[in-house]
Amino acid sequence: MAGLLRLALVLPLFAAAALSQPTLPQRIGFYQWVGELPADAGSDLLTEARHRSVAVGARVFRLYVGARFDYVHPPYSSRRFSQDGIKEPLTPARIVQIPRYRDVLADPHIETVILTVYPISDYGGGPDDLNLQRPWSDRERDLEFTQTSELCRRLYEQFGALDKTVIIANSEADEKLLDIMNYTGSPEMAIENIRRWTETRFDAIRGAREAHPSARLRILHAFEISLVNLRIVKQSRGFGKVPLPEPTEQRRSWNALNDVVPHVSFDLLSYSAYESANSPFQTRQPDIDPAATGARLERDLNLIRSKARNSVSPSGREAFADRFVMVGEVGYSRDRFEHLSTGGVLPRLKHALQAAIDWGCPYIVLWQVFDHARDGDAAWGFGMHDREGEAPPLKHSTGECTSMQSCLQGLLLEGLGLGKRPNNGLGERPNK
Amino acid sequence: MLYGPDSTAQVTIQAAEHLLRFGAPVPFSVSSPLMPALVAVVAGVTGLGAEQAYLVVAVLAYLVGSLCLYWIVRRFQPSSATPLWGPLTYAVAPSRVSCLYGQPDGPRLLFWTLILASALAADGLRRGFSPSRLALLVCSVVLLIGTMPGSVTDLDFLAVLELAVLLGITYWKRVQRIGLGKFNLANSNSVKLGLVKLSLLQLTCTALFVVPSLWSFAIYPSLVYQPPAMPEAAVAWVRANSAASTVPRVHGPVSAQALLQPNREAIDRMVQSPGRTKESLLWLRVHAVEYLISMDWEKFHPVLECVQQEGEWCVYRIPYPNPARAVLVSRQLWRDLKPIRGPHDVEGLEAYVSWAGRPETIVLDWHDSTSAEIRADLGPADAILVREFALPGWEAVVLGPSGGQTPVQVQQDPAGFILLDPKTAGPTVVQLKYNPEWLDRVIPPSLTRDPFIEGDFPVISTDGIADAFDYTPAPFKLGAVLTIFGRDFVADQTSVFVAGEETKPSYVGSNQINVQLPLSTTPGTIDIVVQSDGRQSYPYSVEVIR
Repeated sequence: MAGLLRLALVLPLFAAAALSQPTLPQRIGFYQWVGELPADAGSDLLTEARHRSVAVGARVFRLYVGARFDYVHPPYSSRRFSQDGIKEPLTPARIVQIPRYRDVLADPHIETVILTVYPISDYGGGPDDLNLQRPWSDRERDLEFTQTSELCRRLYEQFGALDKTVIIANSEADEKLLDIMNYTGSPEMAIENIRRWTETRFDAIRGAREAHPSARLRILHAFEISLVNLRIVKQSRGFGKVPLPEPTEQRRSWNALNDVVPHVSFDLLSYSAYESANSPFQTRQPDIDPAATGARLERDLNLIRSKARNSVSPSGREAFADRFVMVGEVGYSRDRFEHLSTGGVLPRLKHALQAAIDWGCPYIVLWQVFDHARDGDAAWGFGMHDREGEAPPLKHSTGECTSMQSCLQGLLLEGLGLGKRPNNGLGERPNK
Repeated sequence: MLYGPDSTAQVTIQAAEHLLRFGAPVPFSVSSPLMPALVAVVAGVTGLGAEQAYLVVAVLAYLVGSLCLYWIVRRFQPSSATPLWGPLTYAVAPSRVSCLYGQPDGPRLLFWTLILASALAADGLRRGFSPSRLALLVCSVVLLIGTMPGSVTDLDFLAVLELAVLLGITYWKRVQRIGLGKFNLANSNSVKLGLVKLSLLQLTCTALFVVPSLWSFAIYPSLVYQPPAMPEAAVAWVRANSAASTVPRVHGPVSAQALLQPNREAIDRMVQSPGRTKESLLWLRVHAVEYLISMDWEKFHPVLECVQQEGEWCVYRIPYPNPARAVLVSRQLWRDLKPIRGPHDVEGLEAYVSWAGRPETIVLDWHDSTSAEIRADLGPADAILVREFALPGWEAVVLGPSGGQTPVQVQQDPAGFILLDPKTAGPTVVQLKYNPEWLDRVIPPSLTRDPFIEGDFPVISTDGIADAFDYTPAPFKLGAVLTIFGRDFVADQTSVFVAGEETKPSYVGSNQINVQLPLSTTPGTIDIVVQSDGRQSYPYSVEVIR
C-alpha cells in the first residue's frame, strides 16, 4: 500500500515533467531473444514481438543482431539467414538491412532500439559471433572496429533523419568473462579481452558519431554487466559466481564492474538486473517480501553508479547526467515465482519497475515478449505472452491487473499506476 | 538431430544411424545387444557395410529360427505330419519380413505365430478329441483374435503372398506338375529332407524380398520403410525444421565397439523408461539431440516444449544444444573433465554437457563413412570434438600448408566421442580416417573401458565445503571440523576420504556431512571424496594449512 501511495505521489511529477523528460513509454520496453512464436502468428518472431511490444505502449525495443540467430530458424540452424539473400560475408550492418530487422528501426512507434550486437567471423563452421576465447589481436580489433563502424554508418545513412536513439550493447559481460575463464583458465585474458573489445567498440561508435554531426539519429554505446555483489572465483571445478561484495586477500575474484568498467568508456551502463531483482544475493532465496525488491535494486544501482561514474563518456554524461545506468534486462519466471507464498511475479515486477523509475534509469527493458522454450528444470515463463500468444494470468489482488500485458498496458498506454487494471480490459483473462 | 522411440530408431547414435540409413530402425539395439553385436562381427570380419551385414544376419537368424520350429514339430509330433502344418510353418515368414523391414512389430508377429499354433491345435483335434487339445485350440483362437492387428500393412500382404506361394506349391497340382511338387513338404519322408526343402524355399522367398530391396537401396527408406508407430508427419516436421541441414546425418564406421558403447544404451534406457527426466535430458544433450519424438507426455511435457503434435505424439525441442557434429571445445576444461561414471551420474553429465555444448561450430566433411576432413580456424585454447565414437582404428593427421602430415592423437572423451587436440592455432585442416585392425572391430568396449555403475552418486555442492562453526571457506586448519553440503548422502553408509585416508564422519544427513580434518593430514591442496552406498563423489580440492 505504501508503494502505491508513493507511486501516486510520483506519477504526477512525471506528468509535469513530461515535456522535458522522457515519458514512461519512452523508457520502458521489451527484449526479444529466442522465444516461442505462437502457432497462429503469421510473421516471424521478431516482427510479432515488436507488434506485441508496441501494442502495450512500449517505445523501447531490444533485439539481438548477430550470426547465431535470425528470429526465423532455431539458434545455430544451418539454414539461418538462408532465405534473406544476404551477400557474403554476413555482418551486423547487413543483418539490419533485412526487412524484419529494418522494420524495428523504422517503426514510428519505437523511439529507442537497443541492439545486442556481436561482430561476425567465420571460424570454419559458418558465420559466428566474435570468438573472445582467444587472445585479442589486430584481427579481432579489425573485426570489431570495421563491423561496428559499418553498422553505424548504415544506420546513419538510412535512419539519420529520424529522431530516434539506437543503443549498441553487448550481452552481460560477466557471463562472457565466466565463459572465457572456464574455457581458457585465464582470468587475466578474459578481463583483457573484454576491456579491449569494449574500447574498440566505443572508438568505432564515437568515430561514426563524429562523422555524422548533423544526424538526428542518436547512436550510443552501452556496456552491459550482470554482477554487482557477486564475483567470479576459482572453485574446485572451474570458475563460478559467489556472493562477495568486496574483494578479499584470501580469494582472488573478478567481475566486470570492478575489473572492466574502470578501464573502458561508454555512454551508458546497462545492468542486467536479475541479481538485484530476483532474490537477495546473500541467500539467493526468492521467497521473501516482494517489497524488498525495490530497495535491493536501488542499492545496487547506486553502487554501480559510484563505481562507473568515471567511465561515462562526455556524450553519455551530457545525455544522462548521473542517471547513466539503464536496466538492460529484468524479468521473473512464472515457474519460479508464481507459487511463492510471499506473492508471485506481479508484485515483484511492480516493485522492481518502481525502483528503476524512481532511480531515474533512462531505459528499463523487460525480459521478454514471448516465453522461451521449456528447458528441463531451468527457469521458465518470463514472457508477457506464452506459446499460444495469450497473456498468462498471474496471481493478483482485487482490482489489480492480472497479467504482465495488462499491467504494462495500464502503465504505458493509459497512464495508470503500476499494477492498476486497464480500463478496456484488453488482455484480461479470468484467473484460473 | 532427432531422437524417437522406434528406436532406437531415429537416433543420434552413430551406429544406429548407419542402420537407419538402411531404413532399419535397429530393433534390437538396446534391449538385446546380441543383434547389433552379430552385425558388427559380420561387418568387421567380412568387410561388408553395416546395411549388408545387418541383412545377412537378419536373414540367417530368422532362417535358423524357422528351421528350429520345423524341426521341433517334426521331431515331437511325427504323427501330425499332415500337409497342413508344413506350409503353415512358413507363417513365421512375417518375422523374417519384419526383420528385413527393421521393425519387429511384436503383436503382429505374435498374431502370425498364433495362426500356426491354432492350425496345429485344430489338426490335433481333428485326429482325436481330448480336453487338452480343445483347450489349446480355444486358447489359440482367443489369443489370435486378441492379437489381431487393427490395420493391414504391407508386412501382412507379403506374408500372405508368401504363404499363398507355398500353399500353391503344396496343393496346386498344375504347379506340382512343373516340378515344384518336389518342394511339397508333406512329401518329405525325413526331417533331413524337410529341412533341405525348407531351407531352399525360405532362401528363395527371402530373395523375393531382398532383391527388390537391394534394387531400390538408394531410396529404401522412402520406398519401403514405413515406421508403423512414429507418425511420418512428425518426422517430416522435424526434417523441415531441424537446425541440421539433413536429418539424420549418417557417418562413421560400424563395429562392435560402436554398437556396444555403454552410453548408447544409457540414452535409450533413460529416454524410454519412465521418470529420470533430468538424466534423460542430459543424455539427449550428450548426443546433441535436437528433437525428441515421444508419447510420454507425463515425462516430457512439463519440461520441454511440444513444438508439434501428431495424434498422441509430440515433437519436443531440446533447447540450445548446438546440433553440430563437430565443435570447438576447451582444452583447459578437457584436462579437468571427469569420466561419466554411470547412467545416473548427473554431475558427470552436467560437466560434460557444459564442456561439449559449445556454439563454435567447425566444418566436418565426410568423404565416406570412414573418412572425413575437418577445417577449423583454431584458437590457442581450442581442441576439436567430433561426435563419433572414438574407436580403436581412427587415425588423424594435420595437413600442413606444404602437404606435410602431422599425426594427431585420437582421444576418447567421457562420452566416448573423438577428441582431437592438434595443439596448433590458425586455419587448420585435419584428416580423419578409420583404419582398424579386424580385431579392433569386434572386441566389445566393455573389455576396454570401465563399466557403467548404476545408481545415484553422492555430489559435493559447488563451494560446498566450509568450516562447520562459521561456514568460512577454505583454507582450513588441521583438526578443523568441516561441513560438506551436497546431495545423495546415505546415512550409515557414508564415509569421507580426506587425502585418501578414510575418515569417519560425525554426522551424516542426506544433504550434509560433518567431518573432522585429521591432524595427520599433510598441509597443502588435498582432495576430499565422499563415498556413499558404495559410490564415490568426484574429488573436491581444498587448501589445508597448519
